[in-house]
Parts: sequence; structure tokens; C-alpha cells
Amino acid sequence: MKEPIVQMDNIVFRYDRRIQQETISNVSLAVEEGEGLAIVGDNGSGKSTLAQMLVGLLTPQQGSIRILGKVLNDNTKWELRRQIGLVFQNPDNQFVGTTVQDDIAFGLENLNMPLQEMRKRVEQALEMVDMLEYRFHDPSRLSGGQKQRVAIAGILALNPSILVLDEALVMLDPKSRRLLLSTLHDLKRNNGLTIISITHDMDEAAAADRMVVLKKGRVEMEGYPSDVFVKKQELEAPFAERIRRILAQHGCGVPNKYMTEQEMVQWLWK
Amino acid sequence: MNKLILGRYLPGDSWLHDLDPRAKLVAGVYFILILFIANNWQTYALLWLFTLLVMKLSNIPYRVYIRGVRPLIWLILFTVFLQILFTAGGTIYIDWGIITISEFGLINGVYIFFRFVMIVFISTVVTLTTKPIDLTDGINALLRPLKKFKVPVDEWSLMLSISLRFIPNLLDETQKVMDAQRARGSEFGEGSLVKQMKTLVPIFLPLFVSSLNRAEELANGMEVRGYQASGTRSTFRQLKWKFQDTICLMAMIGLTIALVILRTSGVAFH
Amino acid sequence: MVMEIKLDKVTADYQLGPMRTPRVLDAVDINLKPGTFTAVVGHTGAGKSSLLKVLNGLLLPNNGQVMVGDTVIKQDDNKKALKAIRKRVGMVFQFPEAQLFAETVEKDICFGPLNFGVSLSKAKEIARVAIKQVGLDESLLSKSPFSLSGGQKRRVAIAGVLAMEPDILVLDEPGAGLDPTGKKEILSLISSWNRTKQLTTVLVTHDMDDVARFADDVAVMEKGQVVSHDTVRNTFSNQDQLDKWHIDLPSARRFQLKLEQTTGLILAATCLTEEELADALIKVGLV
Repeated sequence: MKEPIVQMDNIVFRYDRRIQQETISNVSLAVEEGEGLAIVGDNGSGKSTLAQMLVGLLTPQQGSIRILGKVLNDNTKWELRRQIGLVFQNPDNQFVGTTVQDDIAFGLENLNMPLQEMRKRVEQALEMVDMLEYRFHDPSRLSGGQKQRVAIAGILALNPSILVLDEALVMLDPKSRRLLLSTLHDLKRNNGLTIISITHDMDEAAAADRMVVLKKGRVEMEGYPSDVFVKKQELEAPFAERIRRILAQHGCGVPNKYMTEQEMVQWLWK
Repeated sequence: MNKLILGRYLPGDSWLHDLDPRAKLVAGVYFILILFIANNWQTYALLWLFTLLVMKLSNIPYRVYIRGVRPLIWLILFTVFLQILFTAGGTIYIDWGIITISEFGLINGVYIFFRFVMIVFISTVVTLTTKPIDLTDGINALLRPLKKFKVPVDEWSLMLSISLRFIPNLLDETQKVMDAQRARGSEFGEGSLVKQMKTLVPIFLPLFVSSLNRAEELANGMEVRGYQASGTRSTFRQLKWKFQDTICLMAMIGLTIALVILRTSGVAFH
Repeated sequence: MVMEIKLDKVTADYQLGPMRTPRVLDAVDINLKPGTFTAVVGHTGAGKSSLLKVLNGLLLPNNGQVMVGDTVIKQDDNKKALKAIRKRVGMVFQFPEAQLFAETVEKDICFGPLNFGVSLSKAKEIARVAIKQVGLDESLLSKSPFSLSGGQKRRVAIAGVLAMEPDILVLDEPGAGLDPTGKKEILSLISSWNRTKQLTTVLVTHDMDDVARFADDVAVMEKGQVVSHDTVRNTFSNQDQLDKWHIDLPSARRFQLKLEQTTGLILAATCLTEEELADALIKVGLV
């Protein structure tokens, strides 16, 4: 069997060593190449800490993280960051450039890449997130959805194998969120990108191949979204599942399995 | 804040807007230096002609430049006043003990006034027609030789460009916090000095906290995109020296020659 | 006291530093009845935040007038009149936790009341009430606001506005950035103040599910104008108009339309929440 692209083994992290409370307690997770994994959990569950550890911004006190077979540590983190990129919640605080294309080029400049190659990469990245026509705009004056597209392009330009989204869609209105989600889905399918999205948006989680529920720094449940939403009734769910739960409460004979909106419509019409 | 013209950029598409920032910076500094060649009315007349022509070329109305001088007028008049008092020679018009106003003093005062105003005008031309980011790039390019002496030119210019990029955000943020506190009944600019200082705490503290957060997020974002302070970086934004930039520098040489001729052939007044 | 808000042909410009945006509000007419819960929706830059600011005298109209109760806000209003308005209209900004500054939660909540001339002992009393109103424990009063979690900070900031004991509460995306549980709790609290205290409420949001669940009326804004002001159900029944304004739908309504399109069946009413939709599905015999 192929080795997972990301492998976390028994990760432990606490911000303050004097405090017993661990932010992350003994978390082990494997992510397969080309997979879409959603890590969900409420504020304070430790999700963002996990995201920062994945890119080497924080170092676990115990356990190890392997990315593409290499152990992530202070010596390997710069090299591995070309393979694993992180998109943060608030793009406004990430922009370095005064135009969209300057900002996307920032990561490439850091690699000391020749100009011709940079131009090509910037163009490709802009195209992937459908922002070509905004290349000369000031990123801080774009709409929320566009800003996050630029931030994602800034990472994609580096040609990473893995994209980590740390609540990157949270600030967006539902419509921009749906649009960006479908863009990310295309990227995953067409470019074989592995996407780890850390989120509390259940529609985002439902769109993933697999989801992990984090609670107080521990993995509470792991599985297909369709199973998790049915098993964990107290978890906020996507719309069709919410309807299914209400109907079930009313004693209607709904199947005890997760349905997408499309499947729900078809089932109703049967 | 709205009145300050010097240091601002006005978008436009004049011949001057199009010049390379390096050409503009060199020409601007050079102009200030050759101002000191002028010593008679012919040379000053030529410099005025040149200054007005350059201002015309910027396609920005003269009144904008005049507004730019206004905040500095007291400083200029004070210097002129000192010059008048402390220059002796020629006919003496007023003699009140320590205060004497002489012919040479008056003429010198007028020259100093002209010199000052021209310096302000020309610097304003440079900043009004050059994007801050281009200015930064220009300065970086001109200071590049200093890198041989281990001066961190690239780090400085990145720092400068990031600061420039965050100014609008800081303005936004300030406005927001002021509005929020005003909505809670806070009043600014009223009462005794102590009281006024007190009303500033609810503004500065939140701004300080958010700036720290912003800085941390920015630093994380930059690190994730591979920025290392000591690393060698390529540059995406390229400055391009054009024929018109050469013309600009030729014009400066032409002006110098004309000044030297007028200085020696014209009637020096001392 | 319950208060009516009336805007009559209000036009306003917005100045930030050197940038000036003309006509962020363009001849806005709107009338908000006392005790109602109105959601303001529209695109980024449609003028929603400016509308809120005008209600509070933070943005003064160039033309037209704003009436809050029996007070009129005019272009050249003096500070005293504006302060009176600000006491009546409590304003919660987007990410209000960014306004916290004091050493303790108690001091921060007391800031508003003290500015409006309430005595210290009375302000402290109010703070105790306000912190409970936002569902937090009194013991937090002595803590530093900066030591709290994100959700708690948000609540403390809202308590700081409630402590002014306003007649009208105006909020700009109070749930933004919170997790689903936190968001639901905040909005439920706001809705309960509206119902039990008759607090006239104006809420700016992008989330149509919140509009459907909590608001009575919807004001749709576009290019600085209020282009529609109607009940929630009427607004979301008018599909053609919504498309024209690029306004999203509540999930239940979106699902309903999808179902109706696929099946050709038409449900009796416009469904706004999942409960309504489930009832309608049962009634029509689909389940």
C-alpha cells in the first residue's frame, strides 16, 4: 500500500507547559494523496493549532508529523512548505503585495525563481482561481470571496501537493462560499491536489471525502461525512440532513442514511 | 490629513507618470543640488521656467501644488525672515540697532523663498506622479550598490513596501474603532488636555492589540510562503529603463549647462 | 420606550482619509416600526453599513432627514443632540470585540453608561445585568477582556452596548466568524431581546437562513438605495426580483424551488425554515 501523504502520529501540544490542559491530545491522523479531508470542531477544539503544526509554524511537544514520507522538523520545514501550503481565515492580514499579481508572486520570489517562470506560474495560479482579470487590482479592495481566491492562488503558485485551509471560507457569505467550494473541488479533481480543510462549516465538511470530528483536542469521530452526520445527531448538519432529522422525529418513514439535497429530492419524488 | 499633498500619489497617465521611478528620483535629487548653482535673476528665472514646465507635464493643476506648499508656508517664511535679518551688504533700508534690513538681505530672502518653493514643488511632482510601491522599488534599485557593504537594502525596501500596503488598513481600522467608541458615547477633542488624552486610550489600545495580531498573522503568512529574511530573492516587479528616461536625464544635464553659462555671463549681484 | 425610525430621502457621502465615496446612500426612504426586527441585506458596498451609521449619527446626511423617535438628525447637528441619539440607538459593529480596551470586563461594559453620565455604582449594577443578558457568568466581570475566548469577547462587546440601555439595537453581522453553535446562540439572544423587551432591532447579514429564522421584515439595498422593504415571506416569494438583486435564498426556500422544479409539484406556501418545509412536505403527502 502507498504511504499516506500526511501522517500524524500521537501528536501532543499545549501552549503553556505549566498548564495541564492539552490543546491537542494524542492525535493520530493519516491523509491519502488526492484526498479531501475535513477536520471539524467548535472554537477551542484545537483545529487551528493542528493546521499550524502541519506547516511547521508550531512544533508538537510529542509525536511526529510526516509529509510525503519526510519528517517535518526545523531542518525540513522550508523544503516541505513548497509541498504543503496554508490558507488562513483572514486574507487581509496576509497580503504583502499592492497588486493581486505582485502578491501571488511573493512566494515565488522567495524561491528566487527566474522572472519568466514566475510570470508563467502567476498566470496559471490566477487562472486556476478564475481571477485573471483582477491581476492589477489592489487585493485589499476586493470582495471577501475574491480576496480568499487571491490568497489561495498565492499558495497554488508554489505548486504544492497539499493545501490546508484554516477556516478559509468562514468569513465569506454563503454564496461566495459555495462558489469557492466548487472551485476547490475542481482543483482537487483536475490537479490531484490533496485538500485538508479545517472548518466549522458543515456544507464544506459534507463536500469532503472523509471527515474528522475534533473535540477538546481529541479525535472524537472519523469517517465518511454521510456516516458521521447520521451517527452524530448533535452535530450541526447540512440542510438535507437537517430535514431528514426533522422528518424522522415526526415519525415519517425516512431512510436512516445520509442524503445529499439531490438524493433527498429524488427520494421525496419516488 | 486630507490637506497634506507632499507624499501623496495621484493616478494619471502623463509623460511624468510614465517615467521610471529611478529617473525621477535621480532627477529630483539632482535638481535640488543644482539649485545652488543659481546666483542671479537669470538663473532663477530659468529654474522657475523649468519647474513650471515640469509641473505642467504632470497634468496636475497648479492649484494642487500650491495647496502642497501651504502647510509649509510658516516654516518657509521663518527661514526667509532670518535670511533677511542676517545678511548685510548693499543699501541699508532700515537700521534699528541690532535689526538691519539691507538690499542684499532682501534679495537673498527672495532667492531663499524661491529655492524652498521649488524644492517643495519638484518633490511634490515626484511623489504625485509615482506610486509608493514604485518609489520603493526605485529607492531599492538605487541603493543596491550598498548591499556590497552588508546594508540590508532588500529587507528595508520590503519593510517599507509592506508598511505602505498596510496604511489603508490602519486608516480603516482607526475609523472603525473611533466610530465604535463614539457610538458608546465617547467624545474626542473636547474638554481639558487630560480628558482628551483619556479619550484616546479606548482608541489606541484596541488599535495596538489589532496591529500586534495583524503583525503576527502577517509573519506567519510570510513564513508559510517561504520567506526567510536571509534568503536570496528574485523580484517579480521589474523596472524598465525607457528612452524617455534617458531624455529626462539629458534634460537635467542640459539644464546644468544652461545654468553654468547664465551664472558666469549673467550679472552676478554680489 | 418603543421608537420609530424614519428616513426621508436621506443622501450621504462617506469620507475616509483622502478617499471620498460619493452617495453611499442615495435618497433612502425607509420606515421602521417600533419593536420590529428588520434584516438589511444586499451586496458588499450596497450601503448597508452606511445605513446603520446614519441611524446612529456617525454618518450625517447631506440631504434629507433621519428621525429617531421624535428627534431629527440633520447635517449640522450639534454634539449634544448626536449624543442623545447615540444613547437611544445602540450600535454593534462587525467584530465588535475589536473595541475592547479596558483592564477588566466590568470597566469595559461600564464605559458606555459612564460616558452618558450614569453614576459609577449604577453603571456597575447595569454591567452585572448586561453580562447575564448575553449569557455569560458574573464572575467574568473581574477578568481581563483580552483573556477571554473569541465568542466570549464578542458577547462582552455586545454587553457593552446593551449597558447603554438603548431603545433601538443596530447590529452589523454579529455572528460573523463564530462557529455554528456560537452564532446560533448570539442570534437567539438578539431575537429574545427583541421579543421580550420590544427592542427595535436592525440587523445587517449575508446569511439568508438567519433572516428567515429571526427577522420580521427585510430591507434590500442596492447601490445606496433601499429597493425593497417587505415582510420576510413576501420578499423571498418574489423570485424574479431576488434574481435581479442577486440576493441569495434561505436553504429551505432553495430546496423548495429545487423540489418544485424537479417534480412539477407546487407547495402551498413559501417555506422559510426547515420546520416549515418539513410540515409542508408532510401536508402535501410527499412523505
